[in-house]
Formats: sequence, C-alpha cells, structure tokens
Amino acid sequence: MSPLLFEGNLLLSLLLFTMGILGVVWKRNAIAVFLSVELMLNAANLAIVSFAHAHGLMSGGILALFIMTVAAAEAGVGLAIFIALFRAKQNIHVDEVDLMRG
Amino acid sequence: MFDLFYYLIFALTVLGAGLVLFTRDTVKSAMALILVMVCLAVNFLMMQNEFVALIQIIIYAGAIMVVFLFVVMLLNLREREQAPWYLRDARFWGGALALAFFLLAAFGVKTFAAAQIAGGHPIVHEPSDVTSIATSLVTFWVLPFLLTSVILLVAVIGAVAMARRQDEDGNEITIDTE
Amino acid sequence: MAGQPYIPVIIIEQLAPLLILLAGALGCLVADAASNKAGSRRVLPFIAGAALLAALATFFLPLWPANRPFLEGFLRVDRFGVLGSVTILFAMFVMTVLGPETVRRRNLPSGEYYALILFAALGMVTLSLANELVTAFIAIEILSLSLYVLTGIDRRSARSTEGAFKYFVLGAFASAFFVMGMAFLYGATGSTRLNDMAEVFRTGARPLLDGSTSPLNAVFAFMGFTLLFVGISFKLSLAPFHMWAPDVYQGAPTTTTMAIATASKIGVFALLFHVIVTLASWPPFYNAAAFLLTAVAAASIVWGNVQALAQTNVKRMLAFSSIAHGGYVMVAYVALMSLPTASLEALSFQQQEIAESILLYLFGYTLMNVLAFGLAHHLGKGGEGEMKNYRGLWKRSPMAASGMALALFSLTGIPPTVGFIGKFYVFRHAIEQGQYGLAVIGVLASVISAFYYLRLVVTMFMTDEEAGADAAQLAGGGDSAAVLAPGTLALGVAAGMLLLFGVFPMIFFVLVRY
Repeated sequence: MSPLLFEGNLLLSLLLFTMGILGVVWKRNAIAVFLSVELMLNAANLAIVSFAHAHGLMSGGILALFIMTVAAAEAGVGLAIFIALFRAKQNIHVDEVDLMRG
Repeated sequence: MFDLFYYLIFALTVLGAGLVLFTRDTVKSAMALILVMVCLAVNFLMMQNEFVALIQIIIYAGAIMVVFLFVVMLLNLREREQAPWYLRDARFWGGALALAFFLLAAFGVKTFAAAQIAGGHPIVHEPSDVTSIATSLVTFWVLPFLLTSVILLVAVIGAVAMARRQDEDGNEITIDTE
Repeated sequence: MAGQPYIPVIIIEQLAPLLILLAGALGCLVADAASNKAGSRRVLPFIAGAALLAALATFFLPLWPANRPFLEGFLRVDRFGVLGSVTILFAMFVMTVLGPETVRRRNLPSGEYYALILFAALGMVTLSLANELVTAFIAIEILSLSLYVLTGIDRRSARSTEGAFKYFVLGAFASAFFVMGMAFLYGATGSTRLNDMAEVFRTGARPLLDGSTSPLNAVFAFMGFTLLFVGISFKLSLAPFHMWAPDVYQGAPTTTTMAIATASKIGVFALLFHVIVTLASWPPFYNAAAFLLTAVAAASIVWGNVQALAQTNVKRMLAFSSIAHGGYVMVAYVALMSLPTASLEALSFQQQEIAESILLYLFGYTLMNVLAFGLAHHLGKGGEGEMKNYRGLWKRSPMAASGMALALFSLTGIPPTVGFIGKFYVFRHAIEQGQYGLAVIGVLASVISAFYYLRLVVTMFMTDEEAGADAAQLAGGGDSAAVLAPGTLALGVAAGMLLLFGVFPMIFFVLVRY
C-alpha cells in the first residue's frame, strides 16, 4: 500500500470526523444533527478499513460491518423518536426543545 | 494516475462533507452525505476491500439514507432563519475546540503515520474476500454476530413503541404538553 | 482459515445469563401478543422478574474459568464482571417490581416495556463481561437503545419524549466518539481483543502476519484512548459531557431514571475498568493520559455538587448528584491508572483492592439511588419531582420519609451507611497513590453536598400546615397497599443492605472474595 493512501485516508477520516462534530454543534434541525453523526461514523469506518489495510488484516471489514449494522439500528430508533417528538411539538429544532430548565 | 484519481476522490469526499455541513435544506444535506458515502466506497475499492465497498453502498447509501430521506420528507421540515453561527458563543467555542482537535490529531498522524507502515518490507495480507469474511463472521466473531441480531430486534421493538399512534386499548394517544 | 473451516468452541452454559435474559425478553413479547385482555398481561412482570433472578442466580454457579477469557476471548468473567452483573440485575429487578405501578399509572404498552427492561439488562451484563471492544460497543448500543425507548415510552408526556430525544442525540454523538476511539486503538494494536491489546502494550511491539513486529504507535494509542474515554464519559454523564443528564433524569419515568442512574453506569464503569487495566500494561500510559481522568473527575465533583445546590426538582438534584458521584468513582480510576499491569489474568494486589473499593462504591451507590428513586416513584405521578411536594412527608408517610432520609444520608456519606464506607475507601486509595489534590477536592465537595441533601431531609421532616390537600393525596395513602407491597419489600431490602454494609463493610469484602 502506498504511504499516500494510508496517510491521506487517515487525514480524510479525521477531517470528516471533525466536520461531523461541527455539524452536531452547528445544526439546529435534529435530522441534520443526526446526519452529522452518520458522517462521524463513516469517518470511523474509513479509519478502521485503512488501518486494517495497512496491517494486512481481514478483521477491518468485519468491524465495519458491525458498525454499519449498529448504525442502522440506531437510525431506526432515532428516527422513530424524532417522529414522536414532531407529533408532540410540530418541530424538531434542537434548541427549541426546552420544557425542562434548571 | 492512481495518485491523481485518489486526490480527485479525496476532494470530492471533502466537498460532499462540506455540503452536508453548510446546506440549509435537509434533503440536500442527505444527498450530499450519499455523495460522501459513494466516494468512501470508491476509496474502499482502492484499498482492495470490495466487501466493505459493497455493504457501504447497499446498507449505508441504500438502506439507512433512504430511511433518512423518508423521514425528512414525512415531517416536511423547514429550516428557519437563524443568527449566523459565529454570533452564538457556545457554537463558536464548540467549533473552535473541534478545529483544535483536528489540527492536533492531524499533526500527530502526519508526523507518526509513516512509522506505522512496517519498515519498508511488503505486507502480508489476509484474504479479505467475501467468503473468508463470511466464514470468520460465523466462527471467530460469532458472539458479536449474535448480539447484532439482538440489537436489530431491540431497534424494531423500540421503533414500534416510539412511533405508534394508538395505545394497547386502541385509544388515540394525545400528548400532554403541560 | 480458508479451506478447512475453523470451528470455535462454544460452551452454551457459559452464555447462560445472556440466554436467560434473551429468553425472558422473547417470552414477554410472546405472552403480550398472546394475551387478549388486560388481565392476562399481569403475568408479564413475573416472567421478567423470574428471568432477572434466574440470570442473577447463574452468577453464583461455577460456570466460567476463573478470570480467563473464553469464547475466543470475547468474554471474560472476573470479579468486577460478576459483582457488576449482580448489582445491575438487582437494580433492574427493582425496576421490574415497580413496573406494574408505572405501567398502570402512565398506561404504557406492557409487552414492550418489560421486554426492553430485559434487553437493557442483557446489554449491561454483556458489557460488564465484555473482553473485546466491538462486543462492548454492541452491548452499549443494546442498552442505550433500550433506555432511549424506555425514557420516551410515555408518549402522552411531552417531557418524556423530549428526554428521549436529548438522550438519543447525545448518546449517538457519544457512540461516534467511542467508535473512533476503537478505530485508533485497533490501528495501534491490530486487534480489538483486550488480551491481545494488553500484550502489544506490554511488549511495545505489534506482531505482523509475516512474523516480524512493528513498534507500537504511541500517538494512535493515546488518541484512541482519549476518544474512547470521551465516548465513555458521555455515557457516564461525567462533566463536561453531562449536559443531557438533568433533562433526561427529569423527563423519564422515574423507574427508568433509576436504571439510567444505576445499572447503565455500572456496565460502562466495568468496561472502563477493563480498558484502563489493559492500557496500564503500557508503561507511559499514566503520564500520557492521567490528566484526562483527573480533569474529568475534578470537574464532575465540583460542577455536579455546585449545580445541585440550585435545584428545586428532586430528580434534577439527584441527576447532578449522580454526576458528582461519577466523579468520586473516577478518583479511584485515577488511582488505578497509576498501577502498572503485569498480566490481565493476574492483577496485582493493589489493583484488586482498588477494584473492590470501586465495586463497593458502585454497589452502595446503586442501593442508595434505587432507594431514592424508588421512593420518589412511590410519591406518585406529578409529585415525583417538585421539592415542595416533599414538605411534611414525615407526617404523611413516616416509612417513605425515613427511607428517603437514609438514602440521602448515604449519598452525603454520613457514617453508619455504605455511602461513607465507599467514599472512605476511594479517598484512601487516592491518597495511597499520591492523588492528594483530588482527595481534598472530593472531601470538600462532600461537605458542600451535605447542604443540598440535608435541605431535602429538613424539608421532609418539617411540619408544615401549608403542605396542602393536593400534596397530601400524592404521597403514601394514594396507592393501594397490595400493589405496592412487593415494591416496598424490594426497597426495604435495599435499605437494609445499605445499613448492613455501612456498619459491616467487611461482609462485602468477604462475599466478594468467596
């Protein structure tokens, strides 16, 4: 494997992860926030596969598969929660969800 | 040629992520994320990992993102006008911290990544075709494999419990907003 | 591996607790689907309770090789795992016992409710036994998804849904950090099994497939641990990653809050213990990462206690109190970090001592929070949170008031209770390992914490004519004794153990070393 691919992919992974964090911090719409979380999970998958490839290991693909499965399960529950919240409030802006303060 | 192609994919991925971050419209954000996922799949192919590239397209871009788009369109959300992000303190500092994290980590990786690759000699690769991954999944990795079946079941039950419109007696659920 | 398929050794008895919990959860779902009228759903809590007790009983059987990994090194049953699981199952059992009341009061779907309790317990137990990071990640997600839904399952209450929403968004964010940390640890060591990782950290070299080795990349290892620790801190609601906790604790049904505050944290603390012990094989680990844990511990103790002072809602106050208690436990983890690990199979004497102290603390913490949240639950819907509803409780329900007072004394750390013993051992270890600063902060913050805990005690015992008719019907008398009897019994057991282990801590240590 060329060093370019390995270093480049690690940098790309960190970049995507940071952009995901920024999305979580900046976005107001809950679905956009969750999209940013998916971006972070993708970044982690990229890092895992690059490491596995650099070491010649097979297990990277398996880890990626597990992470995707969990992400799918999480998306299912999360979007159901968003729908429930939308029924209660008619919006899902993260900074307008504020019945509780203190 | 390979390098050029890699840089192209790299740029396209970052462009997609930037669009996810800076687009107001959630549908366009989701489309941009699909672009990122497809670029990553190409990246996985460049690492000769066709299995991950395949499931990246099928599960992520194909299944998860479709559910996202479905919910976005179901709820028909409109992003409202908001103060620019740099005027909101918490967001600004959150962003600054994230950027600091990136710079530190990137510096660390750039400086030390070369040491990671075994000192010049060729790397032995385990077979990573679909057959050997599948075999390994139901032998060595059998416990997490079984646990994923549990988590999918939990997700199904949870999603039904959260999204149902009627309770057990068949009454419409009305929400008490206090 | 190609050609001749390799068959792993699976001894089915070793998975007994997990399989029992899974069978119980499926049993609840099937029984719920089969029952056509509300009356026949009464059997569900019995199925769930029986499954939890049976799973608990399996931990007293000699099913596992002591302290050795099994099932390809994915699970390991050590003292921390066993005691953590027993405590988790006890807390979830109390939640089940209080379940019928919650289901009736809030009109919840009972099949999903009990099944999710059992799934959450399954995730927590797997997490406390996990010896591999992917297994741990999936286990965390099983318990988190179950708890998100258990938080938001009261669809009629907007607060409940809102709590689930906040819990979910920050939980998913935390999971992303956890996965990224796992990726970098995998990159540094080439494995996700803690035993392999410990080996790489101990020798400082990673074996490659061609038989040669490459040196451990310290930057990747450090980044991996940091990101993993951020994810774990979110799940433990340690400051500065605690922002979800107060709203979730307040919004969730009180019995769910009880599970979030106690059982879910024990599983994650067990994982953190295993990860730290693994990384402690790496000589520079303490110097590289101690400041992270120290900062988080100090921030949690100070911020949790200071914020708790200003709360007027008991559930919110207990949320900040649990942030502070998480900080006290982290003090013991800082002490643990400074001890090098020779081998995961045989931890040093000091490491085992610290592990026992952490276990005692967590066990005591679980007892007092189970008692406090259980009694808050008893006080009825609408009266659970607001502090003014606790006025003159002593007049209306002396049992509830004295139980609550006992829990609060224990949370403060006043001598004849287990709370005092737990804090005593934690701070002793901190001082033994030279963490004077943290010990001083901890003791001072405990003194501050006495103010808000005892304020609630005073409120309860204060005779107040203005308590009002609405508050009077909330507490005590409102519920029929028959429904509450098992709940009272379970809480009574918790209170009894609180005092027993407070007066005779040695019993605990003897039991642990059985």
